Amino acid sequence: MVIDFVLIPINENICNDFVGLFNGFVVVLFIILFLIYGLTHLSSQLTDRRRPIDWQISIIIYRSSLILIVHLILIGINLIGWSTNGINHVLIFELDPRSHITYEEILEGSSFLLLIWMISFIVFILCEYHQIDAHWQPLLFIFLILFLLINPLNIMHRSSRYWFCRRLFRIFSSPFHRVTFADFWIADQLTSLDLIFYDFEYLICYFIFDVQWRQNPSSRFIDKTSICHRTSNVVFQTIMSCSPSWFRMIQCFRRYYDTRLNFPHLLNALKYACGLFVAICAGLQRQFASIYTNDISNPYFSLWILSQICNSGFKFAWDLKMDWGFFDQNPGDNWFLRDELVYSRKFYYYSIIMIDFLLRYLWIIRIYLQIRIESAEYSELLIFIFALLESVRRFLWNFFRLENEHLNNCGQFRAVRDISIKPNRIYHQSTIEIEQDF
Amino acid sequence: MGRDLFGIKFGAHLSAHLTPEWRSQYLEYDAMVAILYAAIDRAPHDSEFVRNRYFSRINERFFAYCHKELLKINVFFGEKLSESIRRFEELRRELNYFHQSRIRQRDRQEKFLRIQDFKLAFSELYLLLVLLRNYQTLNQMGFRKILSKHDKLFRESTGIRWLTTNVDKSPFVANQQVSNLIDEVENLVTDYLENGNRKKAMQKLRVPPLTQIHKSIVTYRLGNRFRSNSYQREYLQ
Repeated sequence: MVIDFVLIPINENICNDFVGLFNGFVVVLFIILFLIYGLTHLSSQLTDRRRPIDWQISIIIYRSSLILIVHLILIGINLIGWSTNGINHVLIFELDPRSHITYEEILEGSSFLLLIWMISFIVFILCEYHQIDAHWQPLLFIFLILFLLINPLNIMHRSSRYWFCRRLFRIFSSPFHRVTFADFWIADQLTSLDLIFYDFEYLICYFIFDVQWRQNPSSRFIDKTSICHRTSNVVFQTIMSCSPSWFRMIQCFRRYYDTRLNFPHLLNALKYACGLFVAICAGLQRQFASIYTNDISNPYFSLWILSQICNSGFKFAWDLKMDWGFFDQNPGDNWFLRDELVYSRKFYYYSIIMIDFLLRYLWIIRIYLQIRIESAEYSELLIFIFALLESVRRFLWNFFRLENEHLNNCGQFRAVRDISIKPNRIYHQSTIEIEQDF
Repeated sequence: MGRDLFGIKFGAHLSAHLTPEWRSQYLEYDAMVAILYAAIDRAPHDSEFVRNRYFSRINERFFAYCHKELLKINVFFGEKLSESIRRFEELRRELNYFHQSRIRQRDRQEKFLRIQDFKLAFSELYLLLVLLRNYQTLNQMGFRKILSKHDKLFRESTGIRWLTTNVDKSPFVANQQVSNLIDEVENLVTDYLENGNRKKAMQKLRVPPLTQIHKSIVTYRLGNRFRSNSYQREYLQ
C-alpha cells in the first residue's frame, strides 16, 4: 500500500476570494446602474430640457455579450454540480486528466468578464446620456473578449482556451470532422445562445452605418437617425439565427455517415430541421411585417406559431427520452425515470421535467407580452430576459445530460479515454522482417 | 460506525476515492457494515446456546455475502487486467514497428505527430493502470476493515481467518501484473519516447492525486472539512 500525503491546494482560498470580490463589485455597479436610471428618469420628468436615457441601442449592443458571460458562469456552476455528484466530466469531454480547467478558474474568469462588462455598459450609457462620443467603447469590449479568447501568450489557461477554439472550429466546419461529445455539447449550448447570432446583424449594421465615425461633433447628434432600427437585413439576420441549428443538424448527418444508424441520428437531424424551420418562419414574418397592419393578420405569424408548437413538443420529448434517458423500460422504483439516478433526490428529476416543459413553451408568454407592449425599449429588454431564461434552461439541462452520459460510461465501466494508435501500414510492410528480433 | 482511518470513516474514504465509473464493482462496504450492526442489535439475550446458534447463522450469511463480493471483484479485476494487457501489447507492438522504421523515415513533421500520439496513448494507459491499482488497494483495505470489524463486534477470529484463506490468495490481491505493467510503461516511455530522460517521462505520466482526477470537489468538500478542523493534510492511498 502506497501512502503519501498530499497538500490541499492553498490557492483555492485565494481563488474563491477573487470570485467574491468580483461579484461584490458587480453588485455595487448594478446598484449604481439603477441609481443612474432612477435619477435620469426623475430629472427628465422634472425639467423639460433633460431627456431620459435612450436604452434601446445599449441594450441591443450589450445583451449578447452578457448572455455569453452569464452562460459561462452557469457552466462553472454545472462543473460544481457534476463533480459533487461524481460525474466525471473530464472523461466525458475527453479532456486531459492531468491538466484541465477547474470550476474555480471558470468562475473567476467569468466573474472578471462580468465586472468588465458592467463597467463598459455603465460608461457607454453615461456617454450616450451626455452626448459624448463613445462608440469605440462597445467595439473595444467585443475585441477585448475576442483577444482574451485567442491571446497567444501562455497565460489565462491557454490550453483550455485553445481547446474551446478548436471545438468551435470543428463546429463551424461541421461535416468534415468526426463528431465527439464535446463538439455536439458545445453546439447545443450555441443553439441556446441563438440571441448572439440574431444580434450579430444589428451589431455589424450599427458599427458600419449608424456610427458616424468621421463627422464633425456638432452635427452628429442633430439628426439622430438610426438606419438599423427601421430596416434590418432580414435575410442575413435569418441566416445568422439559423446557423446554430444548421451546425447541429449537419453534425447529426455526419454522425449518421459515421455510424450508419438511422434511429437516433436522422431523427435528431429532423429535430434541428424543425428548429431551422422556426427560424425561417420568424424571418419571413419579420420580412413581411410591414405589409400587414398587425402581427395577427400576418399569415407567416400563424405559420411561425405552428412550427414553434411542433418544435417545442419535439424537443421536449427528445430531452426527456433521448438526452436524459427518462421513461426507461425498467425504471425500478423511479417511476417514469430510469433505474439508476446519480442525484440524491427524485424530486429534482420530477421538477426538471416540469421546468423544462414550462421553459420550452415560454415563447407563448413572450408573444403575448410582445403584442401588448408598445415600447421598443421594453421589447428589446424582454427578448434579452427570455434569452436569459433559455440559457438557464440549458444550464439545468446540462446536469441531466452529463448524468446520462456518465451512466453510459458506468454501464461500460469506461474510466479512461479510448486512445488507440492506428496501425500504420507503411511501417508494417517496411519492418515486417525486423519484428522477429525485438 | 467507528472512525478508523486517520479520523475518516472507511466508508467515506472508499466513496471519496473510488473510480465513479466502476462504482458498482467495489466492495459493498456500507451494506456489510449495516448487516453487522443489524445482527448485533437483534442478537438474543437468552442462553449461551441460543446466542451461539444465532451468530453462526449470521456468520454463514455474512461470509456468503463476502464470497459473492470477492467473486465480483476478482471477475472485474480480471477483465480490466486483460483489457490493459491487450492495450499494452498493442501499443508496444506499434511502438516497436515505429522505432525500428524511424531510422529510415524522413518526414520529421509526421514523426513528431506520431510520437505525440504515442505519448498520449501511453499516458492514458498509465492512468488506467493507476486506477486499477487503486481498485486493488481499496478493495483489499475494505476486506481487511470489514472482517476485522466483524471480529471486533462478534468477538471471534473467524473473520481474520477468512481473510487469510480467501482474500489474501485471490487474484486481485496476489496479482502483481499491474505494478509490473506500470513499470514497463514507465520504461518504454522513458527509453523510446523521451530519449532516456526519465524525469521528463514521469512528468508526463504522473497522475495527479486520484481525488483531483475524478472529482475536484472531493478536495473542495474535504478541504472545507479539514479547514474547519484546522487540518491541512489529507490521507490518500
